[in-house]
Amino acid sequence: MNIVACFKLVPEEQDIIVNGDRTLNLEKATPKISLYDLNAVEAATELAAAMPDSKVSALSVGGKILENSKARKDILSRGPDALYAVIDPALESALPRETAAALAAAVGKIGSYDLIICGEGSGDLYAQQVGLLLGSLLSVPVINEVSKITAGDGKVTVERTLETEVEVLEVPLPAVVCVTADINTPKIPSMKAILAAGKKPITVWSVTDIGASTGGAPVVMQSILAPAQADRKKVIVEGDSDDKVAAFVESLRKVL
Amino acid sequence: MSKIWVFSDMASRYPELLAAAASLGGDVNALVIGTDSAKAFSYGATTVTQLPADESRMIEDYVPTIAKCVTASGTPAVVLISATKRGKAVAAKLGIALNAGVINDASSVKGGDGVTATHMVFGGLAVGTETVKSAVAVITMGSGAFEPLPEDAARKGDVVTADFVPPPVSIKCLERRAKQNSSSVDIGKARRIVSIGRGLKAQEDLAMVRDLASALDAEVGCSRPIAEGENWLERERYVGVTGVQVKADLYVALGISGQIQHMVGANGAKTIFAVNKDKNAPIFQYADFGLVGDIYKVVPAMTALLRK
Amino acid sequence: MDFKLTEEQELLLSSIREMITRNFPADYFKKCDEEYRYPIEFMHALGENGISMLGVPEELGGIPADLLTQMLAIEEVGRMGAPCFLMMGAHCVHNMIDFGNKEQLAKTVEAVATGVPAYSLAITEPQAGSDNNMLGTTYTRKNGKVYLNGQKTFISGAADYPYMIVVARDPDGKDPKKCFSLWWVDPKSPGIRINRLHKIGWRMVSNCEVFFDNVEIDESALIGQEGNGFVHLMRNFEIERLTIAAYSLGPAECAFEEAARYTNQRVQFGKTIGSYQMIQDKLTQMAIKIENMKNFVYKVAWQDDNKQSLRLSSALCKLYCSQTAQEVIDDAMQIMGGVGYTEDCRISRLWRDIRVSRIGGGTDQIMTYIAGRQIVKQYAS
Repeated sequence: MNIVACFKLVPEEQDIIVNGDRTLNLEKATPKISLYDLNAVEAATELAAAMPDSKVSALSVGGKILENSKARKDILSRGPDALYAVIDPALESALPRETAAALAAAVGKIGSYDLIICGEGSGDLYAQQVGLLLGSLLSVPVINEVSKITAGDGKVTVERTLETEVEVLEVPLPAVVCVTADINTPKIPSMKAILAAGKKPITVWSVTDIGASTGGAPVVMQSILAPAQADRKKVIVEGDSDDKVAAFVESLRKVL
Repeated sequence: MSKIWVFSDMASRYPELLAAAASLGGDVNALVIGTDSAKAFSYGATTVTQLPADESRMIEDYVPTIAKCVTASGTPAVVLISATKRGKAVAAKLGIALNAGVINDASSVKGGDGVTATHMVFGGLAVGTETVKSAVAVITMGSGAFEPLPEDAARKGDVVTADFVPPPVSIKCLERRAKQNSSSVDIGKARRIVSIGRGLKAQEDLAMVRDLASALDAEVGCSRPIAEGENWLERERYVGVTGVQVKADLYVALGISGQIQHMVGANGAKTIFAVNKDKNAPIFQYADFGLVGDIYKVVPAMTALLRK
Repeated sequence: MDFKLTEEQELLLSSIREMITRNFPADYFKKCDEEYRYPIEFMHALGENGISMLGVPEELGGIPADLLTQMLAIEEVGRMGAPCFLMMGAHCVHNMIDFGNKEQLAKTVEAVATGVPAYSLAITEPQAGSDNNMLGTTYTRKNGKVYLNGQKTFISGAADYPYMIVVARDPDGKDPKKCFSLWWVDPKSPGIRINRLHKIGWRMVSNCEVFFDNVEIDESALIGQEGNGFVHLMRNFEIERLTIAAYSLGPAECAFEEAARYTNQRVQFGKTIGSYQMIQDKLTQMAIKIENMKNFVYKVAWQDDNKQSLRLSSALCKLYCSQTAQEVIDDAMQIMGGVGYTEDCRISRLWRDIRVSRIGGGTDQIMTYIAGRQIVKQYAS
């Protein structure tokens, strides 16, 4: 089975600084693989391990952040056999529609595929659209919230976990599925896998190489601002002796 | 003036969607699967478009039908959908079918030169404000963003029926079953919440948390590890950036460290109480009242005092 | 000098961090320590991830890594608050590559691949610690078999590891340099009795008295050349000294970081204690010491990777790091105040654990003895 796992590199949240004007400073933030995309990569790797002669390609589109060689080794240490990256200034801070269009073009350039796996949403914008848009653009079956994948002949059977129901769906291939965060626990890369990652093939394309069109973005980001911090009283008492608990409960009674 | 459409896979979400639609001004057309239009009218729909019901279909199969309705009545148009899991699938598919910009989990929505909506980004660290430039905008609305309009059973309007347009590619649903360990609780609407986090050592100890909640007449909520790592509580009770964002009067956080991803869900509460044994836990930065102590000692003591 | 880590090293370290953060929270080690329990789950995780096989040749199923990378891994495990002093695996393998036979090497690799050091090293005796010429445990031959008799003590891991290497004396040997041999022993063999000692630290691994009462072994249990026991162990003593230096560095960083964070949070007299200069002075001195320890450990590892002698530097490094780490952890406890002295705070455990770095693997005094003589000799004439 030919599997493509899509991922995004996002700034490490812990390194993000909130400026005085509530804008975010991402300069010090190192690139990391978006958390939920690790589930997609893990799902792809597990599926490939269960199917003989499978291949997993990791695919990402974006700006300069994808030039980060450590991040490339990082993704390859998590199981994929090859990495494809579309790097272009036009994709710097691309929103879902442009991202999906570039992914669709890149998939066309990679060639044949059976299954494309995406995460539930990215750690930065968490738009939760890219996989669904990608499937629709490729005119193949696409479904989100997939919590289990079983490979079959020319199809996959998936479980889709919704708010109160679970659907068992038969998805003919080729297809795109977006997996949930609890579909698996991504394995921590082993020492061996990390050292092997540097030897795996990496293909880099520009937007022109894949023949994608940019521009005409249907949505524009106006601003990204930290919310104003709610003003809290911050009355903190140390110690759990009876009188302190009693005082705490008294404060609680006052707001009931 | 934009044409406003609303659609939800959950009937319970129409009232707030209709309120959001009304805030944009103009006529509101509710797309409803089946023939029950009265509810939609009573909450503010001016027109109801009935989509033919068929149990064997998936909700996503209605995308071409909805797209046809929207296209036929012209642009500019806004489609508001409940931000459920199916709702988001429908939204993205409509985005391609209608060449429309999509925004998910909107916490606010505004008309004007393009529809502008806000939603959380960077794990709750910030709010993104986006504007849709395309002629059609598809927005999924987060739960609780709008208060429903008062119900008025006397309201009536036009009813139209739409023919089903089959989707070009279809996914076969083999089975549909109720999710285990799920509940219909909506803690987004609860007035009081007692929430438990990693400080809980074993699932049995939830009894202590439930006792306190019952003494306070509160719902039980939790942080992500309790719902998704341990599966000790239903996913619906998980408060946080990818869970529920509460609007309670009172939020009591027990053994919750207070990571931003959780606080984004809890910060909507009017008053926050916190108990945590680590006095350096970030939760105390977000709390009105905090007690540094062991929940296993404090929680039963609180329950006893409240019951006195 | 290039202090930049390679991308692979950075990823290895981040994998270690991820593994410990995700699966082995501070509470896990606290519990193991309280229960005097060998953290077998953690050791298996080190095996599964390949950390225990870092530096073991690829043909043995290992993961090629220079000594610097191995020391970085130990440091990181310690920095995360985990018991890095249990990371003996690669060391066990290297010993057997150097002087073990095929079967002994295979058994060692098999154990180390699961994360568990293959054997304890039974050298010290009640009457012979630093002065190992006084070792009294004997091996004698009778009817084609070999018999061990005597007593060992403070043997790390004797109750936890699958095998034991026993240093024993040929009672008929005249030349003290030629009368000690190494024997491969199953600690469950008849005639062996193991008695756990109670210690103030290092509670996650056993240290034991081991009694040998006519323990019968085969000739094939001989490790390396007969009479060459100490020669065999000697070179690896140097690596062991460096390793203990890294065992000291990691926990010192852990304690330092915890204390430094605390100074931002603890408020006294209306200000965070970090705003007081006496605390700042402490943190500054601690930071200098950590920086020095790092540089020393990395330098000695680099020397080995570049085939230079570690004879002097490994002794200096162990002496410096084991003493200095103790100072840093003690200062961290001082900064934490009462909290640092409680068992809820892991600094108290690190404080108990670190002390033995100045005793095991050669005491401070032995390090001074080794280094001092060499220095004097260097400047002779």
